[in-house]
Amino acid sequence: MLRRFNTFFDRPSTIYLLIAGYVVAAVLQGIAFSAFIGFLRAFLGPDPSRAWGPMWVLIGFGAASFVVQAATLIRANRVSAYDVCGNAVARIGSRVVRLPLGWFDSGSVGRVSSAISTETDNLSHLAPVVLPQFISGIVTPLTVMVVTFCYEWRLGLIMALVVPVVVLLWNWASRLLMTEHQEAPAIAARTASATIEHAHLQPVLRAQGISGTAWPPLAKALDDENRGLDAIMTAQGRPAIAFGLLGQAFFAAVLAAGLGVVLGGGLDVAAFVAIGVMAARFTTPISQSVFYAAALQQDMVSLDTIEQIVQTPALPEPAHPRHPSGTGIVLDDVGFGYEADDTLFEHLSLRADEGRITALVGPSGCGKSTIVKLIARFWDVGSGSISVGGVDVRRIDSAELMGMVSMVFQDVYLFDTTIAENVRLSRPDASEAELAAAISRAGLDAVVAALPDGLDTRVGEGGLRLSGGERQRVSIARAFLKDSPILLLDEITSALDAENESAITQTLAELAAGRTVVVIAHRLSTIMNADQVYVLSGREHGGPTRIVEQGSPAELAAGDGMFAALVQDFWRTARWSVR
Amino acid sequence: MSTPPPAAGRPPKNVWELTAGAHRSMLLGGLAAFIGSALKIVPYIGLVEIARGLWSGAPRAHLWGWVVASAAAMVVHGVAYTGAVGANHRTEAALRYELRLRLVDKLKHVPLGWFNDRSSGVVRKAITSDTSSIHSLVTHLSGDLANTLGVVVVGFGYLLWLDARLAGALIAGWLLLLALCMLPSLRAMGRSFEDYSAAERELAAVTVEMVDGIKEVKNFGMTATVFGRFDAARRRHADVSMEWMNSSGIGVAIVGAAMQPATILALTTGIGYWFVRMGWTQPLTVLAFALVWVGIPEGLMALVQIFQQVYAAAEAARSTLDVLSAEELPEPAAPAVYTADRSLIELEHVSFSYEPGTPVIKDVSLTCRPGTVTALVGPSGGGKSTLAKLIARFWDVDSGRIKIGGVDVRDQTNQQLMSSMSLVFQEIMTATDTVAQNIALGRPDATRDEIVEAARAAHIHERIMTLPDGYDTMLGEGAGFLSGGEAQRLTIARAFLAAPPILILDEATAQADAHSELEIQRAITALARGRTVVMIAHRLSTIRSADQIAVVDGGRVAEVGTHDQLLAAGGQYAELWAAQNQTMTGARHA
Repeated sequence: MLRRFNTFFDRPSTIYLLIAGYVVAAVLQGIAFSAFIGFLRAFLGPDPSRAWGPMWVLIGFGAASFVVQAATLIRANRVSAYDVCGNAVARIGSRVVRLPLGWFDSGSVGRVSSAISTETDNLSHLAPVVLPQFISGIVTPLTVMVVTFCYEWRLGLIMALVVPVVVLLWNWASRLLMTEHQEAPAIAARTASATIEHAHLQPVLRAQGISGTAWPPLAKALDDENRGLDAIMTAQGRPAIAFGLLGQAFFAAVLAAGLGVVLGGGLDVAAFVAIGVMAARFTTPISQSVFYAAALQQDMVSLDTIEQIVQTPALPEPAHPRHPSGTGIVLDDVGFGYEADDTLFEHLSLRADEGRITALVGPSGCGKSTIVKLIARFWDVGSGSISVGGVDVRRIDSAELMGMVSMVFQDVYLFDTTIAENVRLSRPDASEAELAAAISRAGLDAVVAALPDGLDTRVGEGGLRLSGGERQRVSIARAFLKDSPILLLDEITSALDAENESAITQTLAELAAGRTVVVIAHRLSTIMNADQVYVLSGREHGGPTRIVEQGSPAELAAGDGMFAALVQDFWRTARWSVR
Repeated sequence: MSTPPPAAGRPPKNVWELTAGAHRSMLLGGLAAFIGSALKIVPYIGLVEIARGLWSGAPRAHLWGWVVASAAAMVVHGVAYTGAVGANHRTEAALRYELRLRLVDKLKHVPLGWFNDRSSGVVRKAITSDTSSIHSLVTHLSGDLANTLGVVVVGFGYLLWLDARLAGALIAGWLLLLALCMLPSLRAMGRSFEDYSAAERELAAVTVEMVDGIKEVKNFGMTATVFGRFDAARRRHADVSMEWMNSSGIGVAIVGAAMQPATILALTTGIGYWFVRMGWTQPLTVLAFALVWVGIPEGLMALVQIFQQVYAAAEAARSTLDVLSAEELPEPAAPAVYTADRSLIELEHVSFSYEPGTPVIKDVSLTCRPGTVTALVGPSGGGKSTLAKLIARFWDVDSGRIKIGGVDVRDQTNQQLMSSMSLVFQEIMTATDTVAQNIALGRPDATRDEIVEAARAAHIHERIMTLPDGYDTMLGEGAGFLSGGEAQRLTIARAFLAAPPILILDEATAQADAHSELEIQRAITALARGRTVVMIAHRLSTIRSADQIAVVDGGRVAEVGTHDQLLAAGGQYAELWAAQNQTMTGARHA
């Protein structure tokens, strides 16, 4: 665990220095306790003033321990604020942006957020809080035990007997707590999703009078969680009780045995009282051990969570990047699947010629957007190759590849800042005039004019203050501003208002002019405007997607294949009327 | 566990009222913890008395008596303390469970619009995370506080009784040390705590952004602005934590180091030694101080921490309170008696605003006769979605009224109103449950045959049969067995089963290909048969044959009529139609 934790420090020696500091302070504590014996002997004797010397020994060790511990704690506070928090967050962040897209799913926001806040926060307590408690809880009693052994071996033996019991209990408690810590998030996640579903399903549930706790899935989730928490508490309660009992038994045994030895004349009163003081002091660390165990287990889970992110391999960069000549795109014999046992493409080949519009059509889930994302190297292909301008994308520097490509997605994500900032994202060094031109060419100027703060209007989280059509215009403006030679376009599917639809179609045609375009087309108008169409098969029976037809749209429409049928479907949906 | 009906009692005003159910057990638990921790002092007194007895040559029975008393006190302490902690945790768990039940039951009484105005994340947080934060409130307040007070009050009381001067000198010294070390940090904390929470919120927000917008981040390269925002937030966060550490960390570290047991022991005996030399006290009294005093500075520290935790918990409980005090939708006790066909919808001079002063719907009157199709068209933001949702009583109108079956929707029970209509919106509404159960949400007592029949009518049966377990396949996160269009047909199947007289739908489907869309269209056509339909339409071709088309713009109904009437009128609809037709014909000629 230490080795794993150590990776967050700027200097690998830091953690060992901290541990050394805590150990030294704890040993000094133990020695101070034993110096107490000498002090008491003189102090409780006939002439208390003879305790002068022993008192300064006691104070000296106490003060030395104080200085070492204070210095170590200050250092620990600093490194955990800077090294642990700072480095962990930086490493998580820089890894996240380099992870292949396949890593991201509906749960990734939660995972990354909790790694950056909760787990990092947990880890930041390890060096300044958990470690000193843990170390002083072990080292000081051990020192005292050794010292006691020197004075009175029988009492030392009693103390030593506690050690194996503590170790056994510790192992048991750690295992128990680890399982519980790992199960808790899953239980919480189930309640969370039931709660969200309950909110979404309100109209249906109310119609049936089964809203709230009357809806079995939600009632069950809450009930399960309650029972799960109960189990966790029981699991934590048992070791707590066991450690508590052990601590008390230990103290009672030392007291009774000590008195026996004193009355038998085997030990002087001062030593007995001092040993009693130490024993009384160490019942607390023993009964608290379970909490140290819990804290350490929690940190282990935090380390796991963070490592799951920072140790996921990123897409490799080429060692000797090559420059593409041209912008033609070729997929040659590509094989790819999101999961090992699920092949999406097998021997898939297609080409998008320079300066031409290539449309991909096919049923949902057949992998059209995967093709587009593979071209931009969001993932690497499993076999075969994808090349841009004659060079395999894996051999192009990722910054250069990204510079060549503009992408307009259908689910456009905007950042919670101004419209101007959002557009500028695609070329941070663009001039005001260039920005204005891009905004106007994207037809965004009309939208902006209607907004209270114009270009400086904030778009809200995810851009939700803008409509779908408006968000796509921002994305188009980004593409105009970036002005890259390749355009990858995922056309918006959801129905747009009449005005929006015709305007966006026109804008996109302008954007496409003079570029190499690969478009996932959902509208007949877009498809018919393409130079070349690839019709992809659906994934019946889970088989890989194939290219079933290719050619110019006019040619294909005149035939009797899948494309012609598709065009028929288009006309039928366009003619549909609710009644 | 029974939950109070919403009418009974007002919602809790503050954290104190929120936790009212747990107060009795908290008090009992606190009392047990106090007694338990007070007993912790007995072994120390025992040790002092044994030492005294050994010196004065007391009888052995007296000495062993103290050993037994000490051991017994420790056992009682252990039992009382663990019992109190356990009881407090259980009280807290019970309270949390009860609060969650109350919260979700509260949700069935809030207007549907309440959900519309909040992200599901907010709702989830109020129910799950924030009720958990009440944990520290209940457990720490009663258990830890009582426990600490037990140690400090009884211990200090005993020492005061032994030697008031020595006790006074020690407490003064420690309070001075604590004040010197902790006050600057507390003061700095108040100041930089704001900065710190702000930096933390900012970091959390940009993290969510970075992950949610990961495609854009990759699109524009990670060196671009987005990652820059993350990086800046991260640096600020690190700087603020560093500043916080610098201002308060040193004081905290010094206090922490000074509170090591042997260090406290050394200090106490040092002062005690001086007191003895001055002739102010006895060596045995100093021994008692050496034993008991160790717990007191720790206790003072713990008190500070407990108050910090309680404060934080009370802050977190705020959103729970907000939900519980959300305004409920007033509804009558018994279902209303319809005075007209129950599929007749009438809007009479309806006005509505989300925020006072900015009306979204202005004086709209519209009648949807039984069995007819009404299409709402118009620019986005014009108010057509709001209008459709007002019919489903997502919110209550500001003025005018909406009647269904001749009765104001506000005079109908929630269940009555909701069961008179099916809502088919863009949002996919499925539950983590089997396919069959998801359809049966439309009518829980439906037989398997009826469910299959509904699925066939919604053109989704064939697809369901290809799922691994057919109708018994679990839907849900990760499983992702159904596409958006398929999930939509599932909700249509649900509507078939519920068979309400009114259908409110948003045409914008989440389809991805023409074939899938065709299936949805067919399902909707079948569902619409014989019902009163209100449809938010985007493509005008879809609603050419609607019985009436209402053009909604700027919160008003600009025009109403049939397709032919509106075209002939040459108004806004005619313009929209021309614009859309241009796109269509453009495609045809391409």
